[in-house]
Amino acid sequence: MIALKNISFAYKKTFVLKELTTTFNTGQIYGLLGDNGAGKTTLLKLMSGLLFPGTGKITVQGSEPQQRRPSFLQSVFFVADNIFFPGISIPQYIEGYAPFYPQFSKKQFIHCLTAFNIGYDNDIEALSFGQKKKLLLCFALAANTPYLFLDEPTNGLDIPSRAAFKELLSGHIDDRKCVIVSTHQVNDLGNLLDHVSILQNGKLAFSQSMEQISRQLLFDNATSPDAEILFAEESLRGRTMLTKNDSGYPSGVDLELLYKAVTINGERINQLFAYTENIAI
Amino acid sequence: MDFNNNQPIYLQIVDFICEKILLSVWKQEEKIPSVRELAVQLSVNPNTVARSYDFLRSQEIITDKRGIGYFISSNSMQQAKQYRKNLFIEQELPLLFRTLNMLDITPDELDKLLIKYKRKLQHEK
Repeated sequence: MIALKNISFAYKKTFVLKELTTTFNTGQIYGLLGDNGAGKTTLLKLMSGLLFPGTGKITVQGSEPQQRRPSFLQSVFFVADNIFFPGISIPQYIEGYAPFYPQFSKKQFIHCLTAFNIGYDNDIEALSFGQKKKLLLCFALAANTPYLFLDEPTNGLDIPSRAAFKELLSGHIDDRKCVIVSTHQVNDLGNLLDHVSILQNGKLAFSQSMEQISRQLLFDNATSPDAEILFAEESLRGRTMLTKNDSGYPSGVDLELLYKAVTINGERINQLFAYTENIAI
Repeated sequence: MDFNNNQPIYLQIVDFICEKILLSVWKQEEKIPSVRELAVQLSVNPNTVARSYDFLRSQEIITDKRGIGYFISSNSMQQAKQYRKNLFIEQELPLLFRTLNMLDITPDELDKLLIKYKRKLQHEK
């Protein structure tokens, strides 16, 4: 489990995260959404020990990332949006870097490369940007770390590779792994998420499981006239609306609509969830 | 598989499996893919497929043989049909009625179209 408590972080004097408290559990895929500059990458870097929090405490499986203990470093993998590779071949890269990850599986690595149509014997410098990104994703998946942080993983990938990546990621997750994906491409990865967290103004403006979202909220283009409309948008199919879900059926979830709704009407939406939590107790 | 936004994914997977059963693609007593296999096949979260299987089990459409896997129940055809029928009446029919009403389509007209459709199906077979 990852626990963040009252985390604040500033670049010089600009605060990015303010008093952020949350947890991430294994067995789940988390989607981290937020505008550009909302602090998604910062949050992932803090959890990987690449940045240190100004105030507050982070623990990953009980150890603090900033101490960079070997046991911590071999249990996390961070795929950054900008990538750097040394000028060597793929086999040399594996030979040099795989030993840092005790659960690394070469078989899985080759399987991933094949899915992305990349030959094993390539020199890394000969690869395009997109191919390098794929190579890093392959390594990240094959490293089999309990914690995997992906910053915009589908950025720069072509259409078939996006589908291939989704398939690989769906085969990757199990009870011992926690994956946190920051993304703008909600349509790419929406089907894979267990949980959605939206970063706004340095805090988590919204954080709920997909299951709760589909129970509490109704995404539809026709609603009963007395339903409270939380957000509405004109579209080709008429008005697409977000209302409280009183239908008794779980609703499909439109993440783009949810994101816009939270931006405009976040407080009211969170109230709906708080109310149900109280009933549950 | 194309997913839409109108229904939770786990229920869309339930529909997908019910259709396989109703069209006899997956037959009674047959073993079905494991949670993990189906998740990869459909590129969805394994937790989602696990929810679909739980749901199908509660509807007695599939059974769980511990340690071996999931199998299509012996009375799956009946159960799947019942489940889909309820869903159709509760969710799809109101929308259909709305359109029928809007376009003034009479039951007679509808009946003729249905007969025509069934004939076409027979012909294709």
